[in-house]
Amino acid sequence: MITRRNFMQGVAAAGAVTATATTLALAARGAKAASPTSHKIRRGVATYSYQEEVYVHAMTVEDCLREMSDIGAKHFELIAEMLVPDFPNPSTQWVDQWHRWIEKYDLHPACYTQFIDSIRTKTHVLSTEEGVQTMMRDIRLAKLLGIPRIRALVGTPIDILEATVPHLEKENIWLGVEIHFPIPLKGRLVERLRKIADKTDHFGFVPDFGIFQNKPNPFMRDRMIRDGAITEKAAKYVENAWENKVPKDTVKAEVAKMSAGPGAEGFIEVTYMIQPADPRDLLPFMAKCRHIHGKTWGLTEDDVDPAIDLTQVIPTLIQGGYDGAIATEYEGQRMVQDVYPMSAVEMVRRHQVMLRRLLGEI
Amino acid sequence: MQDRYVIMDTGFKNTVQGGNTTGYQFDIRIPYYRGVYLSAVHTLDLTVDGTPVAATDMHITVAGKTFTIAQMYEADSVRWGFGDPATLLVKKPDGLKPGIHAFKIGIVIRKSYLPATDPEHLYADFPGLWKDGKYSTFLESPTVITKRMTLVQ
Repeated sequence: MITRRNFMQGVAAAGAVTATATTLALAARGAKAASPTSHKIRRGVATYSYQEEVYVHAMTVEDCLREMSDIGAKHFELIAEMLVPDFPNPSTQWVDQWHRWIEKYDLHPACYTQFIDSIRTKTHVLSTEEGVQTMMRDIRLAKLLGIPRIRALVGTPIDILEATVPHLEKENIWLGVEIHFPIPLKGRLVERLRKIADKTDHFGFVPDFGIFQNKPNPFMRDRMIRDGAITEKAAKYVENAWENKVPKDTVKAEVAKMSAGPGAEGFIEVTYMIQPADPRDLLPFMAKCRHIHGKTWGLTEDDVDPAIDLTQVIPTLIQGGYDGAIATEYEGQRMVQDVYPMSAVEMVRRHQVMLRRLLGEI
Repeated sequence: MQDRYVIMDTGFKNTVQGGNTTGYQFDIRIPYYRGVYLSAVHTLDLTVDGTPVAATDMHITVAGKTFTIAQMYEADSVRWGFGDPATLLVKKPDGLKPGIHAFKIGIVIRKSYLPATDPEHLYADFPGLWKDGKYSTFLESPTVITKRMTLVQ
């Protein structure tokens, strides 16, 4: 049986064995990239991070708010469909309570997570007008809760987005479409959305740091090994082969000889999809980015993210004058739930320490 | 997502109506990180003790209202809240016998992360959406949860 302590030691080791990860940690610590006053980047948390704790009632809404305040991640992002009772119509009493909490914990809600649910039933795809009505539902609730920005999913239909813009202008709400892996920064979708953004100050982008993933995700790998989806030997082979740029077809052929497990092929695909975006590609439209998802699947005890390296990303954001929050979005819970339930508070904290270092706060 | 918590420890019992045992019931929570319209449940398959249960033998109670599976697929104004128990009711004369029972649920939540159509060909960077000149939107494979639970009565 793997204990939580063993597991965390394993995680730390996974980060430490890679020379690159260690170098990154040292670089991050040594970096004097920014002084606290020379940038406009604010720290926050996406409440997505605390989903497991909220689901099993280990944390209440107020617990989430207090925690974000305690760690100084005050510019947070709210998933209303996770935390607001009686969504989309919370009671007046609850809304009043919400505002008292925001004041008590000195928080600045930065972004509201929107879900269009555009395929509403098996057979009913929302019309443009119905999509706008869904957007209005969320614009209304965001305003009621004092949240000035909305994140839309990367796959929100273009017609709905375009038809929503006049309402955003009228209601003075900004909406950003998430740029989520594997959408490239220089691709057709971003180019198309930039055409909308060019015409208004109320529309733009929410980059997700998953686009900067530069190493295999060890938390996913270890879960797949524990689940028997792939053998440890095969997983190590694939990762080394990827690192050494062995062609994918060669790796597939080798793994086919290994009794590598039912998930081996998928593991190869996921590993070979890793292609970190160049943060400099954000510079031409940095002013259109007003919120960021600080994606992480977990960090070592010395606050190194073994899969998503931000040492070049944060300085580029500062250089480009990024004016907005980075909301830590911890997505590793689904990978470690079997050995390390309720991991979010700790992992978010580690990510926040990493951000503080990269931002020159410590 | 939240797999280990989806089938709840509490709530499993035979259903008694008017003095008759008409079936059995247990509680599940949504395998997702937010609440959804009930109509976002795209498929829901249940196997008990190795035998698949027909959809027509199932009802689901969400937010105090009970639906057939067919009604659930159309329930686009009912919210299944995040972490809120829904009760699955299975029709079975005399219910289940006391003792251990094996449950397996396969559930797909339709998340609409990508649009139903892509007329401007903007989503080709997502692997698998465009195939042979044809676009089909992304649907996850079922979340499968198994659990063994003891029935007392």
